[in-house]
Amino acid sequence: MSKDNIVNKLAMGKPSRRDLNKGLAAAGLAMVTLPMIPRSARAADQPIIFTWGGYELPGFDPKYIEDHPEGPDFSLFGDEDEAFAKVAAGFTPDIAHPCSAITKKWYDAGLIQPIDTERLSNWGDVFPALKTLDNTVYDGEQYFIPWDWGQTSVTYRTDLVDIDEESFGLLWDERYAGKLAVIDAAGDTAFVAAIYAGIDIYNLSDDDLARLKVVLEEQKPLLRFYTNDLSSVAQGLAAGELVAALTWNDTAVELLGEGLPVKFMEPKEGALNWVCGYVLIKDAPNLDLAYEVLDSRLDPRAGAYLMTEYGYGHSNSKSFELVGPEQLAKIGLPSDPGVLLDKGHFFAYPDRYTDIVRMFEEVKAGF
Amino acid sequence: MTEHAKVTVGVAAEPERLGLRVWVRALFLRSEQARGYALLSPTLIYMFLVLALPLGLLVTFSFWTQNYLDFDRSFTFTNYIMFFQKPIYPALLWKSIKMSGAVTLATVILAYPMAYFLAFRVKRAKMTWLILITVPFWTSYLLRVFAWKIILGYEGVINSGLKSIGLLENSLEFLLYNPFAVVITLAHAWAAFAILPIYVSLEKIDRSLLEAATDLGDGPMMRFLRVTLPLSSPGVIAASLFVFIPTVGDYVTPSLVGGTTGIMIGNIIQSMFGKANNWPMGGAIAVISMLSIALLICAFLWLIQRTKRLV
Repeated sequence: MSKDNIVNKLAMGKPSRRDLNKGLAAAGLAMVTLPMIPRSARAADQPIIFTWGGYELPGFDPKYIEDHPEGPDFSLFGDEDEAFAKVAAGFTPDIAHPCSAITKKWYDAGLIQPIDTERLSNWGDVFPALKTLDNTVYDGEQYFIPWDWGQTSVTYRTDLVDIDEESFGLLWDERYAGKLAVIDAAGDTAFVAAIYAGIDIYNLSDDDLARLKVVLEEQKPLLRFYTNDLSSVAQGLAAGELVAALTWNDTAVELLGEGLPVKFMEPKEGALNWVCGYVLIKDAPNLDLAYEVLDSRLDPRAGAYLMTEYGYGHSNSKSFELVGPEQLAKIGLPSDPGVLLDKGHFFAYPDRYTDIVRMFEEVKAGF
Repeated sequence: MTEHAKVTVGVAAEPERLGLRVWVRALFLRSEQARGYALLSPTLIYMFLVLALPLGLLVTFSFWTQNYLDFDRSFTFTNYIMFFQKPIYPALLWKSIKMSGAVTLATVILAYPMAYFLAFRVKRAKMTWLILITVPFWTSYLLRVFAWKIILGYEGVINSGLKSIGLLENSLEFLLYNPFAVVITLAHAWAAFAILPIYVSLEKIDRSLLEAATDLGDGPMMRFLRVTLPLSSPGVIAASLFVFIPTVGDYVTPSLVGGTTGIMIGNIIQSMFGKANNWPMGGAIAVISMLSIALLICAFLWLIQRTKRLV
């Protein structure tokens, strides 16, 4: 049946039922199969990177995109627990992006495989201090490739806050009641409270837990909100709705970039340091390409992008040469993570983490 | 029928199978129930897979306990006992119910005039009006919550508007990050679910009844109270349920606009399944919330039945 024929028949309102069905079937089949053709040719063999929102930008994979212009695929998560739960429930990406402390849980659950560092050309340039972090090496095998490191500390408006020395105490300062905010995560906020109050979170007695609760309860009425949405913190600081807030490096760098008078604090108690990185999922479907992605993420260009855009440190020492001391000073990064790791408190999950989380939830709910 | 007859003749060589076939067919034709279930089966299977099965799982593991990565599968009431031992859980559930009650009340009161206007005043282009009402619901729920953040925010529409016309010096801080903001946001987010059922029940009212009421001497107010309102009550009840049931367990809105005081039971359940990593406890809280809501709804409907009988 020719094309004209169909149009004529349709116009006259009398294509036979059989003709019409044939036409519809053809159209339907075409609709279903068309989108499958390009997709199967493209996406099938790209590795999936399961990472935090914001790390899917092409700037993080310069080398890989040179070799494979289509780039890797991404799946995003909002927090570490969500990521763990999803992979534990059967999701199989190739690479995931937890932090060093929680890697133990991934290892214990049998979700990850050892990484052959000889296959990573940039591994030799990685800071040695980051290669042997707690919870990342098991039986002499590397299960975690350190990538980004930073701090949990206070970002404050230098024009609106009047302090003599930098201290976490600013988050308990009644002069700024209603203009403070903290991160809605026990891993950050309860930890910082423990540092502030001088409580040893790794040897927590019941009394200490009760004491920590009191410290957090004292803070609650002074807060505008608990949040995981750091963009609302950035907006609040920019508007003057907040004068100080618990953040990671990127909020401060973002606001500095906008020309606001803020500072990312170096508290006298020592900031809370953390290192995140990549793990290789046990049954990674695209193992070879996954190694290429890992190597590409360790590339100094990726590192320079991470440091200038987000203000986090990179694990490759060569990235620092690329960024230059002037820029480093501006975003407030030391040129060696070793300096940072020795000075502050390094984040690890305490034994009584579950109790701390429960206590933190109780504080938030007002009990 | 003739085609089928031919087929059955064709397989007559196998009497046993034929017997079964005829029996199934007869049952199918005779029993209206069987036909009904057959017709429903795609939906039923779907509902079973995505609703009944997960719900069953939730109930099952609410009787387990969790340590670190594994479930301890021995049957226990620990989680349920914990719920009532710790004052936080019942109190938070009660607070959520109160907040949802406020949301429901606000939504229905705001939706009723809108639905009334649609049913009685709009004569032409009713479809356009209906579509206009649903327009905000074409965007994601999350976007609507964020929109309210922009409206109520410190540098938001209300504050900057009032400041620019000189009514305010400093921004009002009580607009956002408290239970009040949660109630406002939810009342708007669920408005369509209240407007539509009320509209439908108002639309169905026989206009001659209103005329009769007027003829018999009722003024507009009495006519509304004695005819329109009682006849639209099914819509109002449906709207209340549509709004109340889902909002009790909401956690996105309180976590975005609730601040330090607007937290609800959904936030606790979410943290149990996430950070606190205690799925059984989360399951138990969810089950208790569901049961409490179901009981409340039953009480509500019973009360309505009673008042109706009294009237």
